[in-house]
Amino acid sequence: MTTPRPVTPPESTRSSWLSDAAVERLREAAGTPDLTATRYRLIRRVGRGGMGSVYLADDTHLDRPVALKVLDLDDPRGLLAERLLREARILARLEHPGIVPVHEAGRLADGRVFYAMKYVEGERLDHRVARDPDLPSRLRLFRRVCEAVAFAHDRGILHRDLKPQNVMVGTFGEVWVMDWGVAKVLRDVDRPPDRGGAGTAAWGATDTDHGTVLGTRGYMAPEQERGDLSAVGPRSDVYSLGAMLRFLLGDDPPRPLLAICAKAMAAEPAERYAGALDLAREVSRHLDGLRVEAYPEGVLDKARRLYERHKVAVWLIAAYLVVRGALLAFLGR
Amino acid sequence: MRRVGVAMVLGAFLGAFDGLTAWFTPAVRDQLGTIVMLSSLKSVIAGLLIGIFAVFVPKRPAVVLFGFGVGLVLAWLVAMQPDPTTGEHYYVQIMVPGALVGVLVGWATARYGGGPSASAA
Repeated sequence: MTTPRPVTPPESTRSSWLSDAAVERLREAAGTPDLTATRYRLIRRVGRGGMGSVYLADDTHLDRPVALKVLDLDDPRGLLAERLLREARILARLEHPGIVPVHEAGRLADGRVFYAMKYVEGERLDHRVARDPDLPSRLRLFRRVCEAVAFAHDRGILHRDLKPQNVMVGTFGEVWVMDWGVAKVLRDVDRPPDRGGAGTAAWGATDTDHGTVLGTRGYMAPEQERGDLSAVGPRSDVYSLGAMLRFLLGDDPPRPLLAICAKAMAAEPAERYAGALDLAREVSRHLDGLRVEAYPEGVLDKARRLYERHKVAVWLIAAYLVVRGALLAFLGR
Repeated sequence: MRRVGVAMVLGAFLGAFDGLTAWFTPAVRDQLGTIVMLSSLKSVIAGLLIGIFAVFVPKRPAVVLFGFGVGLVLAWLVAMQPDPTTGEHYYVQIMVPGALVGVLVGWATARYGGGPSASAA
């Protein structure tokens, strides 16, 4: 398609030229996916990702809103299309409440690749955190992220781009780990052999080459940042989760939580938590007022933790003793 | 049934402790054994009632309130008996700690007794 060139027309004819806003609208219209012969009716564009745009659409068969991710970049070699379909296939095998389900994938009438997924209504974790100062509730959200990531690891998939911006939180506290576009398939755990279940070749066609850096700086594990693919594994996602946890903690967090972050973000993968569930368990231990393994606590720390855990009991016993003492002192028995 | 057990054991322990504080009152020190025994028995009965209540009403505030009421009523029944030597009643001295023991047993039963009540605050 040719784009109108922004040349300035002569003064006399300027009114007949297209305005910038009109040009922008034309561009939008040209980029709008052609949903002819699909069950979807386009509503509006809701976002833009690395490979394509995400549209809100209406599934006319089931009368429900869906999100359509449509490739909208030039892709002469078809690599991006393959990557988008690969993302859809990865999501399709991750049936978990914390991961957005895919309904369908394919090619539109205009030739562009797309996939349809559940339309998630909510807000990004970083936005949620900005207005929710309650640390325990943040930690509970984080635990759910860990559970979703642990599930993906169990299915042989690494996310490789975990960060608060890639987590959505629903109105009722539901959590979805999004954007699996740079996910890596470590092993094929549950595909039948006749569909290539014996190896990862079918999945790895567009996999990352050694030395390629994918992810987000600040959340990427050192081995990922170096592009050392052989060293990238579940513990790399654990590093990203540790960075995400550090983000969620804000200023002046409790020391045990900082120790958990430090362990999750250790430079050496072997020194990190073995998996996302181990990290989640440590966070749970802190939430339950138990000792976290990453933090060697002193006597005062232990006393403070026990007090926090049994605060009401301590105050009730104190109230009883004070009353008893007062009765003895003032009434003689 | 764990909640009933927890409530009764806790009741026995706190009742005994409450009774032992009578040692600080020289006038009744010679009756300490009886006081401790009766105080424990009172609190075991309170614990039994609180535990049964907690099984059917697994809500921490309700169990605490029930514990307060049971502790108060049982302590009132005890306080109604006059001192055998002076004939005096010690309502405040017996009922206030009794109610507090009931609150403690109720709260601890709901918090540590297991089951849904442990998280139903």
